[in-house]
Parts: sequence; C-alpha cells; structure tokens
Amino acid sequence: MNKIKDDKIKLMIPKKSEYIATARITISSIGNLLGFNIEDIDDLKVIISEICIFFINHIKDNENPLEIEYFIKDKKIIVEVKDLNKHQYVEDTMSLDKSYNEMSILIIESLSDKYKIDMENKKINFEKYINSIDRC
Amino acid sequence: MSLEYKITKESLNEIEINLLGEVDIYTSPGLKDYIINLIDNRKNNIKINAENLEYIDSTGLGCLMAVYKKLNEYNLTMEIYNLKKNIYKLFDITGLNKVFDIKGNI
Repeated sequence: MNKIKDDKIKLMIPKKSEYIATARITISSIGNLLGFNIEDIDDLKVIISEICIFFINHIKDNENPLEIEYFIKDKKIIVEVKDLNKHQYVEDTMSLDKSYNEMSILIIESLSDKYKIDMENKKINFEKYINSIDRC
Repeated sequence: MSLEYKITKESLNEIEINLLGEVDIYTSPGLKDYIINLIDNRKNNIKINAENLEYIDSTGLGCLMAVYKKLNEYNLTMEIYNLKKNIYKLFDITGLNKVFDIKGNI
C-alpha cells in the first residue's frame, strides 16, 4: 500500500443528530485507508460522534453547520471539529445534559491519544496514533 | 445503519428485546420511548440482547440509564447480555458496567 500522508479532508454537516453518522462513516473510511486496526477505527468513530454530541448539547443554536477537518499524517490522524454557530458555550450545571456531557468528555479523553477543547473558539481537536505493531 | 428493535421472548415477568444496529443520538430517543412505554404498560423485567448491537454512544448509554431508572421505580430489573467488546469498553470507561447487570463473555 502507498504511504498516505499530508492530505486533508473537510466535511461540513448540518448540526443535526441524523448527520453525525456521516462524520462516523468518513472517519471509518479514512482510518481504514491509513491502516488503523478495527478496534482503533471503532474508537475513532466514537470520539468523532462524542465531539459532535458535545456541541449539540452545549451550543443550542444550530443554524450553521459543524465543520470537520481530517488531517491525514504519516502515523496519525488529527481531527478538528468547529461549531460555526454564533452562540457561545454555556456550561450547564443543573440538567441531565451535564452528566451526558461529562460522559462525552470522559469517552473522548479515554479513547484519544491527545485532545484539546477550546470553547472560546468553539472547536475541539484530537489525535490518534497508528499502533506501530499493527503496521508491521 | 439505523436501529431495529423487537421483542424476541416474553414470559410472565420478563420481556427480551433484541437490538440490531446503532443506538446513537438519532435513534436513542425512539428506543427510550419504546422501552419506557413497555415498562409502564407491562411492568415486566427487561432483558436486552445486544448480540447485534454494532454501535452505542453516550446518548445511547443515557437511554439505558433512563430505562434503568424507570425499572427501579417499579422494583424491576434489567439485564444486558452478548455485548461486543468494543461496546463493553464504553460501559467500562463510564463506570456503567458497575451499575448494569451485564452477562455473557466479553
């Protein structure tokens, strides 16, 4: 297989629950192309979904889409998700949404190799490395 | 892939539901309403066969939590079995493996 690196894919999805599967299918395809194992591809699908869920739960405005950029590197994938809506992040301290969001962050933290939440600019990115043993 | 759910077994005090597909932010509200209505109407324990469950996210886990709470109101129980390894991993990360009665080889 040819080495694939330094490519970028940009995807804009309406900020609606029915389109999150599109982001999942895309990352699954890229992960497969890059040589991630099945378990890591499952992790990638969960992480991207949880980021989208986090934005849907935290920034209620949904007129504008979510912008997802997949940066394909030699031994890793970097993904950045931006919420292009105007409203700012409001921390919910009372409702059931809070426990769902805590669950989302816990999952993102556990399954990614590196992640950064920047709510001022309404973007979250993460990195996942290809297991070197799997690449042999 | 979407989600299909159907009752596969019924006894006097238990209903078994088979989940096929993905329990995500899009499909979980429908599943939650379906099971909660079932509990309100039938007052039975729930057994979930997850053999054909391919994917779950935090909203899906939240849906199972809501079902669990509803069952608790009636002193009923929920058992989940045949979870795939990748799905069990999320129960483990969130600590829900200690809350739910999970059966079967993982």
